[in-house]
Amino acid sequence: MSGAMTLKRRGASDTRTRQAGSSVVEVRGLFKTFRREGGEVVPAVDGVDLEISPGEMVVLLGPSGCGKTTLLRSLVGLETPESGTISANGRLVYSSEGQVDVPPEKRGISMMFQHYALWPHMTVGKNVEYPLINRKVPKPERREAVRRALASVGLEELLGQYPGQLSGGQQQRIALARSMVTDPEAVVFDEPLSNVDAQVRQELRIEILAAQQRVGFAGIYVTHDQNEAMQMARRLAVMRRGKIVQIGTPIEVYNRPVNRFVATFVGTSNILGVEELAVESTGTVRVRTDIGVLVLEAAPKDIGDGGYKYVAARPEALSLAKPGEPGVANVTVETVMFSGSTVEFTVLLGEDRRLSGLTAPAEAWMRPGDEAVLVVNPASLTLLKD
Amino acid sequence: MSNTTLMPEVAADSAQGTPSPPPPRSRWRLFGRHFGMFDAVALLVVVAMAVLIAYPLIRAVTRILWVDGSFNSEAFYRVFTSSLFWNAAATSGLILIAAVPIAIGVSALFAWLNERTNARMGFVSTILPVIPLLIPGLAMAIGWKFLADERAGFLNILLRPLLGVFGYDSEVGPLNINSWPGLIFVYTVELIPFAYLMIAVALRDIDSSYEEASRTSGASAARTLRKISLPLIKPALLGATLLCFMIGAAIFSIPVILGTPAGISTLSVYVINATRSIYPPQLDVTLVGALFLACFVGTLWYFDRRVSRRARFARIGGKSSTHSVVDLGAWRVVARAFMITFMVVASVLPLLGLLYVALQPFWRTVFSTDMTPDQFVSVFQEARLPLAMGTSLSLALIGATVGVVIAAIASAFMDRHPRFAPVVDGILKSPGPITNVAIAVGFIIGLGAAPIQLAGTWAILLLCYLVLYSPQALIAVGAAYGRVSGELSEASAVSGSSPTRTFLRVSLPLMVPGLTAAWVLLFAHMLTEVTASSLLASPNHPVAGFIMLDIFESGFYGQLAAFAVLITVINVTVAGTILVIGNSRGATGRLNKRRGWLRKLLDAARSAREELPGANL
Repeated sequence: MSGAMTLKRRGASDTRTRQAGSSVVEVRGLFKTFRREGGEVVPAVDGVDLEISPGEMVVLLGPSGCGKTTLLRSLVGLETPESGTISANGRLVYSSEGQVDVPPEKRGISMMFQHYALWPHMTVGKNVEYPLINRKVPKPERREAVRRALASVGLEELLGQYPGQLSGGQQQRIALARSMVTDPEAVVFDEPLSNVDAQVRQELRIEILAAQQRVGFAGIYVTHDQNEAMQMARRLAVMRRGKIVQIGTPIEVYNRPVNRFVATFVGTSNILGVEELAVESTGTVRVRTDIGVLVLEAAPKDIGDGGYKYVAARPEALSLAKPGEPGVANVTVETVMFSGSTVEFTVLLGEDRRLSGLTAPAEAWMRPGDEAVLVVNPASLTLLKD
Repeated sequence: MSNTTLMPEVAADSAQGTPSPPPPRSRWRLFGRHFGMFDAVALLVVVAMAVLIAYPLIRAVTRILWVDGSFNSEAFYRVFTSSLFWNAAATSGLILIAAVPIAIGVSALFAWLNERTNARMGFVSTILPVIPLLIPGLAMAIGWKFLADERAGFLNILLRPLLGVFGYDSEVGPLNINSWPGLIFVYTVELIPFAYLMIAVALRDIDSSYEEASRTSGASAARTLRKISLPLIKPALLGATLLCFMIGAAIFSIPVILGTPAGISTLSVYVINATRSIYPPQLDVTLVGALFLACFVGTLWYFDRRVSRRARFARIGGKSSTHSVVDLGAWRVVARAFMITFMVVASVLPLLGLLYVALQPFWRTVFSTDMTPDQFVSVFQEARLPLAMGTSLSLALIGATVGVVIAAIASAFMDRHPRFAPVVDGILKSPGPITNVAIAVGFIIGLGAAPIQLAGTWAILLLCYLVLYSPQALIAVGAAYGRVSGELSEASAVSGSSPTRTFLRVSLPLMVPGLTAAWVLLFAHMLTEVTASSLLASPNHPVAGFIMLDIFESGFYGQLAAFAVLITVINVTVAGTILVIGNSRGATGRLNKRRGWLRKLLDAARSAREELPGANL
């Protein structure tokens, strides 16, 4: 490595050192609407604030149509928001007031696409080389960089092949190499793994995280797969209707969802309706719900203000015991699904109150129609207002 | 069929008294498939079409080129040593070599502007491709004659005083449509919609993430266009070029109107006029010339098929619903002005030219605002003009209906017997590469003369139109059929419906909007057909295209303008009415009202244009 490439790299890492702690990508009050068939105007991104630090991976998770892809495309410059500001690498790249709208090629944010987007008329080598040509990197260094990028995904030997000759997993690896070849400060990922099969998906998740370790870019990763989201995220942002409803580490989001939406969208939760609620002198909370009386060990600080209407129960909070043993309520096993090391089942309380997502060891005794007693572990319960 | 072959549930049902489904009615099988009444009818129709396509040509060839049991090389010798022939061929070649690259360049620019930039205007991509349908080549050529005639052209009358300020002082010009540049210009305008359609469709079909990936890799919009977009649509660009050459080689109406006064004769004009305007008709010259033209177009067609087949395989990647838009900045206004100017030039101006001359007492060299309906009145005072209008209308109404029915039956048959699909498809589309000129020549020689002697009859025109537009009909109907076949008709079949019932109760209602669009496509073409009509119609059985050429050659321009306006009004009125009715009646029309009729027409026109040399020019 020598010459301009080295200079560029050193320059880049200088910036990184200088900006350590500050964010690579910063979004303030971003707003964009779209028009539905029929003329109704709907906000796609509704006042989003977001900061991403160097080396961090922020995952945007939400149902389809929640605005996560629009947000991502606005960051890169593929879509123009209506108001707000976006900064990338310490530079203002979009501002509605300042009339700034830097085109995508000048934002220095790399992108990995859902459908690979490898140009079919170029060889693998040319595909990976293209971003370097655009940055006017001299030829010998380009060669070296392409070789290194391909080696990092283990596909050096495919240099002269055309994308049409490769498998989906190989294509997506090439796409990864292409998005990393310039050692970018920031990379966005638009559901990059939704088109590859399960095994390759797991391998690629690891490769993306390893690349991030190596290059140190700030990553923004869009997905609607909650498992992938929790695996990939340093911070997880759950989006709904154009807004970020909760952002935090995956553990925080999983353990302390802020509302029913997050509780059911990230992981599985059974939502129980609160009928009566009392804080006891010991600090525990006694809640009468539609499935029976539960005792929570700790109360939220604002419990006195009231307004807690639901309890979210994670599957691990619920288990079954044989009839006659102590528990919250009597239930009937409805369905049993075998999934390898465990079985997953649903139970019915009375005629039609269903609880789902319960798991037990595979050798468990349950069969559909069996009577059982529901046991609740209060540690995995969360009180919710809405 | 015994119950043992039924599913257990069904067997149980019939055991409880529910009647089992009736066995298939047909006992005939064709390559392992049931072959019933419907298939028999369909096969008959296809065979009839094959005979209708092949017989006249074969008969024409044997009659003219096989005299007294030996090959008539004399005809070939006469044609291929004639300097007129080679002049005409060279003229065609030169016009196309000049016009096609311009048409492709402008179309590619329009396609890019509309599909990828913020200069996009919805109506351009909707209207542009259907302009040739709304304003047929003949009306366009006549309109431009009125606009840019060297002496009395409307535009010249307006331009002369303006240019007088800069010292221009002449009784003629500055524009002259009866010239090489004039012809090249009108050819270019005529070809652009066809090229635009192919290129725009290709551009829309490529996954826009290819371009986005380029932008996020640091390439500018211009570089992305050059390095990514254009290389990706290269097959479409090549296909559009070939298509333009095919259409252009067979265009008759434009050169006969605009080239003849300037002594410029294209191959198509040479071939047709050898029979039409020379006495005695030189049938052998016409036939040999037509075969030469058909060989040329057929060769291009063959290459076009190869190119587009490869293009289809090259289509990778899912469609991204959100195409990112290139911001053109200040150029946006320029780009839009350019596109609007073109739309005006291609559609509004020629119509204005027609209307202006139609409303004048006579076509004159000064601008005048006193309007009179005299020319329209004169159209109805001469018996043969309303007669021609009525004949064309009846031919178009019946021809379009029969054409669509034949195509629908053939589509259903191909769907049921995939083995035969390539053969049926090949038969019904063969008139495309054979060219309208050669088909018409075949009909006049093969069916017009003894012993069949259909020349000058309504029947020969109808049969010829059916053959000429069978490719368009099949493609447009096939597109409609492709959307509704498959599971829906299979569901009908397993519910116990016969193929005929499935066709009538399931496929047909779902196809109504697509079929109406196909019908309108055929109607518009047949109403204003010129090439075949100029050979097959007669003064006793005139049709619109024939009569318009006739009035033109007699020099009654005011009457010609009025007639052309009336035909255009009939075309737009009938087509519009049918599309509106078809859309409100069809099953998918009810389900999906928001898809406008114009869009349907566009779909049909698009699918027809994607594959074909247009035959009505």
